[in-house]
Amino acid sequence: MSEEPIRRKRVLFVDDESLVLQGLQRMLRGMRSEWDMTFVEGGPQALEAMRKQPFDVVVTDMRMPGMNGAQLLNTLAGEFPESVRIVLSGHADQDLITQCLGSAHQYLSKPCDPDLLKRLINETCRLGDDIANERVRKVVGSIERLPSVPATYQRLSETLAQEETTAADLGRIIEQDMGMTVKILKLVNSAFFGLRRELTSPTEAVAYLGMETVRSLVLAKGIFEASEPLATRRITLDAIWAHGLAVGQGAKTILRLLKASEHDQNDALTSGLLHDIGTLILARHFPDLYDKTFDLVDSENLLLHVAEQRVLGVDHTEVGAYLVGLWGLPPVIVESVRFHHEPALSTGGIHRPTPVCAVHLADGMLRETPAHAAFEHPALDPVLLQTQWLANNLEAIRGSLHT
Amino acid sequence: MLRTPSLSAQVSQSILIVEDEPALSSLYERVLSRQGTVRCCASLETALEALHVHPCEVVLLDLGLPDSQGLEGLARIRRHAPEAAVVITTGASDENLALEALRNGAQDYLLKDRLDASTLVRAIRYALERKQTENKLHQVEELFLGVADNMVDLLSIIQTDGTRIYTSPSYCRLLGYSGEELSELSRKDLVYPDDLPGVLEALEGLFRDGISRRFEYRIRRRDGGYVPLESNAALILDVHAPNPKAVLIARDISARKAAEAERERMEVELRQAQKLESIGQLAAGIAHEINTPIQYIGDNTSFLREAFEALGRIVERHQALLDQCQGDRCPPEEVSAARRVLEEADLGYYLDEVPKALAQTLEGVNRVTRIVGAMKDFSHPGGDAKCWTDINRSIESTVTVCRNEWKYAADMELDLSPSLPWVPCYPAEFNQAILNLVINAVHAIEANQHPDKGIIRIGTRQVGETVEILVQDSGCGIPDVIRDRVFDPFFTTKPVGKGIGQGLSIVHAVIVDKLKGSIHLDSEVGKGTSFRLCLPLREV
Repeated sequence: MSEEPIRRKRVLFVDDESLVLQGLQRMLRGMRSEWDMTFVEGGPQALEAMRKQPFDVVVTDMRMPGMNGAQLLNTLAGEFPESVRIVLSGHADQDLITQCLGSAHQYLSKPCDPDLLKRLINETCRLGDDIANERVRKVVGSIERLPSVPATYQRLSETLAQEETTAADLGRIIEQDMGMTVKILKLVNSAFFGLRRELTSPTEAVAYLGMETVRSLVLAKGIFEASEPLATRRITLDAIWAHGLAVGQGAKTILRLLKASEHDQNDALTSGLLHDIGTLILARHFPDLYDKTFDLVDSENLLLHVAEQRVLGVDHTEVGAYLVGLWGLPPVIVESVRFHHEPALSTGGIHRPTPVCAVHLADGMLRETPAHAAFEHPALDPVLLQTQWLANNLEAIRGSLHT
Repeated sequence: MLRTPSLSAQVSQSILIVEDEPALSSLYERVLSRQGTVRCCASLETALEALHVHPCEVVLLDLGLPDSQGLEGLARIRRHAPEAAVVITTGASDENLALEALRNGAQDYLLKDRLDASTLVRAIRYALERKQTENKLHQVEELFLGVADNMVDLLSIIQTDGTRIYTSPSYCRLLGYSGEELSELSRKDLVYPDDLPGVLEALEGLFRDGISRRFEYRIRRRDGGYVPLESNAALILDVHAPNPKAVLIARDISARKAAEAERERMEVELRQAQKLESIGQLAAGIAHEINTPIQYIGDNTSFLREAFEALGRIVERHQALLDQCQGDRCPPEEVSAARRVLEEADLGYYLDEVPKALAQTLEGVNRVTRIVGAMKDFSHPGGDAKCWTDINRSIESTVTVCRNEWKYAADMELDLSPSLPWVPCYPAEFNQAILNLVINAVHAIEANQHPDKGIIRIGTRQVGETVEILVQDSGCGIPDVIRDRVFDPFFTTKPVGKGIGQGLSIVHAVIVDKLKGSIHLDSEVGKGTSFRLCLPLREV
């Protein structure tokens, strides 16, 4: 065997049923060259193993005697924030889920397809590999929720308190806020809710979860949080919010003009809203470094992401993509966040009007607007501008975005 | 208001003499003056006037008056003074008329030509007594009719053969029949056919032993509907009456019945809700119990496929080697290729693990089979009929079905008597009762908040003509103050959302009400609780 090019990922499996562990062990035997796997029969043993030598990924059952999965994950989130925490459970006990809404990154239900489990572990590991800065990885790993614009949060609480509120009412509010959108999509796309397809629209998510569930999640479990003002002096939450909203609506408009499917249009809306979520994370959790980053942008006339790389070792596209990937949001959103500067690198490429391309275009074309000055507006991909589907419609798109 | 008449004939009476012949009139007056106050009138009109001014107890009335001949005078006197006794005086030739007068309400008659003082006095006195008795009877009758006519309850008096001597008008008001219609309807026509045997039995019993009976039945209204009645029947005690009679007081109990039905419906609904709640809870637990083995069945099978492919490659390579060999000469490169395949194939691991994977897969299949079988047993698709039931198996199935509910909180110990006879039982409901007790035990153990698992023991044994089921837990126990209430519907100590207070009430309904068994509760706070259910082996 050749020497290991990179350190093998350490994966810890926790289940009170020994036969499940043995089955996993055999099924994953083929992964032993990539993963260093350990199997333990309970929460206390898992904690002990983690404390001896931390694991990159923890996959745990929910219902276990003594310490259940939620208790284990909550403890791990505090002690080992950078660990990827995945639930693999036999049935959706909503009570237990809501106890670890913040600490579990992803939820799988038993029986779980072997390939899905392998892919998920690999993908979440790879996401983390992009984040060279250990501190950033820890911070993103420990994020339970993202701040919401206080006015939006206020409006949501009021709307929820009204009897005649509909899912559409709530959806319209949630889809204006990054923090709420990303959280509710994380929830609804987890296997706990047994969904067979991926949801990218907050309205659909509310309709799917049901008013009562949403009400209890928001009011009792506090899955959303009204933000304190950001500590950075260079950017405000309102500005980030307004920018996301404008890009989301712009991206949707572009796809509508191009007669893309309704589904793609909605994906573009959500993807656009969330595309700079990395900025929000960095501004919120590293305000001092972010101030430095902006200083660097000014003093050396750098692009924002270059300055970010220099100060933080990561840029906002990587950080954002890490979070939405870790939280199991649909790939179209992860890719829009990661590749909104370079759509050609996305899976869909640039030869047809994808939501990623639309986000890139909307973001780039809004540079003329003063309100969006603080943000890095990517130079539009010249190859993209030459594509047939776009070239013929470019003027119409510009026109509609600037009115 | 009823006036109580003077009961004594000795008291001074007021007597009115109506006689147009002055000689007779004064004669009567003289004779009767010692009996009381006497007034005399010579005509009917003056007599009526006098009665109007001053009532009297006795009227001595001549039937041949200038302004009135015959019975008309009597009729008018009686109309004016219904409470006065009337004695007729008439000639011998008119004795028939006198007899007619008696039938029309006169108390006595005197023939003028055979009249003497003592006869007159005696006649007046007797007439007075008779009239007073009659008045009394009349007042009692009025009282009775006043009560009977106005009562809301239904009053009837019947004879042994069931014929009604009297029915109160309330019957007609309640049922919508006219009096005649009702009188033509027999008991058979009126009483709901299914209720008739019960009514007959009660009344026959009443006439036999004289002990009052209370019974319920439905009675048909004129519009064809039925009214539920509750009837109290008592014998009318009258030593003189040749035929015994019974008085029935019945009451419309529609409202009560409706309330009972409503309560029953609510109880049924609640039980259904509790059942659904437990089914919902069980479904999640069963999903877990099934998904867990399915997970490792899938993982092992996926491993076995991989192993088989690896073994296939080895066999293939070795087959190729054998094909290349001639006699005992084998091409060295083929031998080393075969050896390399063997080395790379992780063969030792497969040889160790494949048998285990197969065994565990089969174990998983068995687990799923067992759970699915227990689910079938638990819900008992055999219907709601009472049937001979293997209580041990019921308990095992129930415990299996709800394993996910208790396995994190407690260890389960079953001590089921192998020689336990089958019991006449409603299996589905019995299972529900056992399930409720197990769930309660789990909650009681969880309430201890002890880090270690608790213990639940379920035992069965035969004690004489009963089968005993003992469900014990090491939970928090039931405080004395609430021990009497734990079987009440809606009583719960659990937080809102954790139970609707129907669990033990259902256990009670099944074991005591339906199966005629008994429940004995023994509990010590902090130590645990045991429920002893006793089921009769013989149908009660």
